[in-house]
This record gives sequence, C-alpha cells and structure tokens, in this order.
Amino acid sequence: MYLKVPFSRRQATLSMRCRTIRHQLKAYVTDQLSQAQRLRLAKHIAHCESCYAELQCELATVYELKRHLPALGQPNAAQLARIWQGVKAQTWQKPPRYTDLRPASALLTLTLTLMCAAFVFRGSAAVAAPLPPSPAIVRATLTPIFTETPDPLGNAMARPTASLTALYANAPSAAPAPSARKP
Amino acid sequence: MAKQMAYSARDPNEEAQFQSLIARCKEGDQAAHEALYNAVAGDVYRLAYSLLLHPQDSEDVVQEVMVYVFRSLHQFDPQRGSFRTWLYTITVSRCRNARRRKWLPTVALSSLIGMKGEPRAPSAQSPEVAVAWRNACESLERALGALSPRLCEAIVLRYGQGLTYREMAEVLNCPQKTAESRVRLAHEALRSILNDVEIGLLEEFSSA
Ligand SMILES: [Zn+2]
Repeated sequence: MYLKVPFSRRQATLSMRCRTIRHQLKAYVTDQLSQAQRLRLAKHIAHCESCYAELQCELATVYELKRHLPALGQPNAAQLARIWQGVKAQTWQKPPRYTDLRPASALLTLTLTLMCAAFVFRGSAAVAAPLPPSPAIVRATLTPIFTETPDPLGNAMARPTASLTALYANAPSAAPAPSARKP
Repeated sequence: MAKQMAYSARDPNEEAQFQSLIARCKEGDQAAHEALYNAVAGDVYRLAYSLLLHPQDSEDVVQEVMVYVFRSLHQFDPQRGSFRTWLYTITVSRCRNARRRKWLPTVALSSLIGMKGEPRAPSAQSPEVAVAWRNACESLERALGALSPRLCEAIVLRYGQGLTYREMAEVLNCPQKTAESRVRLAHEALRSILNDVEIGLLEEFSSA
C-alpha cells in the first residue's frame, strides 16, 4: 500500500523535519553521515514510523547491492588460465614483427627523404634539369612491407593489430551511439 | 568521517604483499608476475564484467590491463596511492575505451540466455533458493546496464569492490564529494529499478 503512493505525493504530505530526514536517509545508507548527523537521525527514526519505513526500503536496496554486486562476474578457473596464457605471450615473447619491421621502416624513411629532396630540387631547378621520376625506388621499397602483412609469425602479435584496426574501423560508426542511448 | 562497513573484508597486509611482489617482478622474476596475476586477476575481471556486462570483452580488458601493468610497473609510485587503486584506475579507463570502441546493448545478452560468467551461488542450497539467487543477479545486471556509465562505475567500485570514498575519488579522478553524490544517485536509481517483489522473494527463500 505504501509503495503504491507516487513519490512526489508522498513528499508533499511530509513535515519539514521529515523531509530533511528523508534527504539524509540516502546519505545514511551509503555511509556518508557524520556521527552527530547519525545520532540526530536515530532520534527522529525512533518515534517517526513513516521515516522508519522509508529507512527499511533504503536498507533493502543497500542489502541487495552488498550481497550481489561482489558476486557478479566471478570468473572461473578456465577463464583466468586462458587470460594468463595471453598475458604471458604478450609479456615475454619478443614481438618479432616489431624488430623485423625496422629495416623496412628505415628504407621507407630513406625513400621519403629522397623523394622530398628530389621534389625540392626539381622545384628549385625545374628548367635546368628535370630529374628522372622515382616510382621505381618507391615500388622496390614498398614491396617488403606488403609481403610483411600476412605475417606467419606469432599469433599473439596478430591480436593487438586486429583490435587496433577494429578500433579505427568502428570509431566513426560507434561515435553517435552513446547519444542515441540517452533518453 | 563516514563509518566503513565490513561487507568486503580486505587483507590489511595486502599492500605490503603487493610491494614485495612488485619488487621481485622488477628483477624479472616470472613466478612473481604469476603470483601478482593470481592475486588480482579475479577482482579485475569482476570489475570489468560489472562495467561491461560481457564475458569476452571483460577477458580482453583483463589481458590488456595485466600486460600494461607488467610493462609499466616502474611507473607505479607507492607514494601516490595503493597498487589496487592504480590497478583499478587502469581497469576503469580500459573499460571506458572498450565501451567507446563498441556500443554495448543496455541489457547483456548473456543475462537473457543463461549467464556464462555466472556468479557463484552459495553452495548447499535448495533449487528454489538457487533460482531466486539467479533471478536476483540477473535483475541486478539489468539494472546496472540501465545506469549511466559514471553512476555504474561508482556503485560497482563501492559495493562490488568495497572501496572507500577516498579510494574511489583516486580511481575516478574526481573530488570525494563527487564520488559520494554519484553513489547516492546510483543508489536512488537502482532502488527504483530493482524489483521490490524479487528482493522480497529472495529474502523469503534465503531465510527458509
Ligand atoms: Zn519522519
């Protein structure tokens, strides 16, 4: 019977004192009151039946949370073991791709530098002597990078790459979602 | 100021144990890494699961977090806070990223088709109590899914992990008062979401 009364109407019929207490009840059940405030609350609750009933409702929610939240999402041993294998692989296996990529990226840097130099040179001395175009160099240095992509090495390293690409792929489509969730 | 209730008893020597494990980890001791993982992975998973409500995403987050923690142990400064709050700060931030990366349905699918990461119900109980426990967990999961992410973080850190408001402020990088008001707001929202009938039923079965 009590629970069926809408919250706003219940509030309207309360005395000033009760209204203050109601406000404090939430702070009380979430452990946010000082000793003095708790004493004042206790004195009121002792002789006000309606505030006492309200306290019982608040306590039921807290009880529910304290009882069930710590139990939510308990992992089983198999899950923890599986995660540990992944952590181990990523922590102690030297990422082979990273070291293998170094000469390739050095080559790429060199090519880019050469291209920039060629561009600047051609720009400043365009009339004098046009340089031969450089696509041959670019093709030669880019090839190893493309063959690098289907990497037969370590599956462990394939994972972060996959999630990274997923991150970039999903980023624009995922962006409007949170606003759509808001009522 | 506020009285701390002992709903999540934590070993008072925990921090000292973490420190000695971390010291060994820094020397490259692999067994110490494993011990540290075993000490915290369960809690990190629970935290991730409560925030994401998705078993596979939670596993991914735990792996990311632990790899990052092991690589960044030299960055951890015990003067600035406990290892646990540092660990939870990283976990909460990774969960926010995971949410952003992928829009999550408000109601976890797992809660509709029999949970995979099912909470361990108290052992030695009648089937009725087991059903009531399961129902309570499912409605709690649904209620968490309906909360805003910030309120969900607050209530999960408070009641799921038993953090003090001060620790929460550290993890969430906000003033303590903000952490307190978020818990009050979450409490109020959950109270209206959680079905009173189910709570009543559960208490009936538990006392039986
Ligand atoms: Zn009153």
